[in-house]
Amino acid sequence: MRKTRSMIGAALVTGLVVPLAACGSGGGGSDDNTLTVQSVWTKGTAEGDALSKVIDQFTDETGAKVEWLDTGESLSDVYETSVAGGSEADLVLSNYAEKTVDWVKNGAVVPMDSYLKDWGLSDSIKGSAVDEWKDSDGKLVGLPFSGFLWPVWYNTDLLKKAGVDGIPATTDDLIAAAGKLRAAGIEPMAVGGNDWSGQKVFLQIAQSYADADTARETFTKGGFCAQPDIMKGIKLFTKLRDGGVFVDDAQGYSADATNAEYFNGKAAIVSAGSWAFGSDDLTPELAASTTLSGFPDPSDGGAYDKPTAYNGYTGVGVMLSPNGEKKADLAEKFVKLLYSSETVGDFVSTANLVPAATTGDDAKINNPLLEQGVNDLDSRVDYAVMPDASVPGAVADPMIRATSLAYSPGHDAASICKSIDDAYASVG
Amino acid sequence: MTTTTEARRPAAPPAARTNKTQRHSGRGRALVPAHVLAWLYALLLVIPLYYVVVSAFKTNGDIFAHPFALPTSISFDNFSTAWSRANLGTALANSVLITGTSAVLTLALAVPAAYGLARARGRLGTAVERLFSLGFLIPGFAALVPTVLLAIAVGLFQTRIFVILFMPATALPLSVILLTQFMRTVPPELEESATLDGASRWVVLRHIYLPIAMPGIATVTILNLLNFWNEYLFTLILGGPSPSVRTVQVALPTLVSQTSTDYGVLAAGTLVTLVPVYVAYILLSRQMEDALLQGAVKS
Repeated sequence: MRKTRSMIGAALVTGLVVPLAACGSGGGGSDDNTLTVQSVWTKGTAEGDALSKVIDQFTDETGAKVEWLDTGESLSDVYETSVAGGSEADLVLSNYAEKTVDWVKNGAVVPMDSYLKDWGLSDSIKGSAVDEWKDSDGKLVGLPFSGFLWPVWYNTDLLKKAGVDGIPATTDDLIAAAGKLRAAGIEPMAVGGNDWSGQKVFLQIAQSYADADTARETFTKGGFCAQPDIMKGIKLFTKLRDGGVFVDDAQGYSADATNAEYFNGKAAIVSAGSWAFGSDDLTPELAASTTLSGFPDPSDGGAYDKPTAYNGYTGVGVMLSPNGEKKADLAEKFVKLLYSSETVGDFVSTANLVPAATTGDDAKINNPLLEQGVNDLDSRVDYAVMPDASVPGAVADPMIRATSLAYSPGHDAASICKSIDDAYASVG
Repeated sequence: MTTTTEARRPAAPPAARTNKTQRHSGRGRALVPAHVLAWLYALLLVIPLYYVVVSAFKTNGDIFAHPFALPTSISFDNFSTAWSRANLGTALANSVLITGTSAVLTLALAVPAAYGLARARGRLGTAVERLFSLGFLIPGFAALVPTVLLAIAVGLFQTRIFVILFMPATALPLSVILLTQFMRTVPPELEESATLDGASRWVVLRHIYLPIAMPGIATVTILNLLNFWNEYLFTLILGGPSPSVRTVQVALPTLVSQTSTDYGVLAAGTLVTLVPVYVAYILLSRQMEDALLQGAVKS
């Protein structure tokens, strides 16, 4: 409720105030020797601690102060209203999804194309990562800093206990495995039907028969009902749902509840990103018995040769605000420090971050699952189209509500695709 | 007093006593559903509170695996983590400052206004009172955009001072209307005799109206304190994200992460933010109950 209120409020302010504020508002929020950094990473988290070290080092080396706004999940709402008042942070560290996708278009941040070259970072950041941060106009919204792997986790001990030999290779195998797991009193696949995590799993299955271009175009423009390959995928989803693959009442689960089901040993399978590799609730024993792979291929042949997982570099990137552009020299020093091999290495080893920087390729990996993901996942899976970069920002929330319905029994493919298309139509 | 009355009363005949016992018994049975509903309602209020309290001492795994079980050990680690991660000390200070100052400012404006309206006899007074009532008709969201523009225009966007000035504006309609009704209960003769004795308007307000309207003032104060303390959207947008300015309600969500929230820490942080509200309620609850009782007796 609170989130809904804040979203509506922020939308109101963004929609009505930003254009007016653009006509002229007060100057920036901090003095010339202070850099304001707003991050989705919060203090006390592994990523926050690593960022804190960067801030301290930056202050030691340059004498400049850093005001750190760790706004967490309310970052985009807060940032957009700050832009309206001309008091936005100089640098923003956030993910590239939903609202941020449109930030260059609506003037909330400046394009980074020229800064990528001028700051000498072209060779320091992977080209594929840079491509993911370009908007539909081809403008670079931010410099990618962290990526992610989003495999399907299999608890091989629980599979074995239920009499399932190996990782299910096809969807029919998965349905059969789900039956055996249920018979053994184990939930098959935990999935967060109530939020973004379930939306990603749904779209992963929905694109099972569609090639990447078709999936990307459908995610961008909608028209799920009219796209035969996507409809085939949605029908596969309902078959899996009705075949008992997902936990009971999956439509009520959040990402955290889903992970807890897996970490507690109640569910044998979960789809979770690399950000969960370092969870305090993941025991070394469970990590050792976990095999990372992908979602099984359709039994009647799909668009991919191997099981699918997601990966991407839209995790967290560095965006420069109009205020920050006025302090480009200071911002450059901070960003260069952030992309230094020492800093990236620290993020990898302490926060299990998948680096978008080439400077992190030799970083020491301490986490066994991150090691498995980085070293083995490419050979086990094909990567499906990550929806975040394609689904328009305004569609994301209504789409999640629509995909939540998909996890509720009784909804057929036609009603599911209609509710998703309605989500696209509702935002024009 | 009761004993004396009972002593003077002639003893009831046995048949009458039986009837009375039956009546009491019948009334008792009739009250059973009310008791059941009251206890159910109390349970509904207690369950979420219990859940937050026990969760504050658990890990995520325990919270999801055994949501209503008692914690296996009592550790205050979640509290200290919440305190440091969300910078709750500064946030609490900001909340106390904003809430307290706004509440005082609201009373400073509402009490004289209510006194004036309570004693007004002409059409102008009625018109002004209705004007205040119109304040109820303005939805919060409708005021959001103009308020943000105003804050930007006066150069107070994302400052505490603007939030402090804004809060009373939102609370004045209800505060003035409620206090006006309380002050209307003061007999005009009291004011007339005080005036004849040479009391000024200020003295009349200070020594006659304020003491009599104190339950109403307590009610308005506690309502405003709760509203100001719990306000999220406006303080988020008007106050901004800076840890030096943000209130507890803005700081608390920084404990939420889209990918991995530590719910034990979040529950602990939530409890910390509840304490001041609870203390304020304890301090003012007697006055508020008196006010409610007054209303019940009058009706």
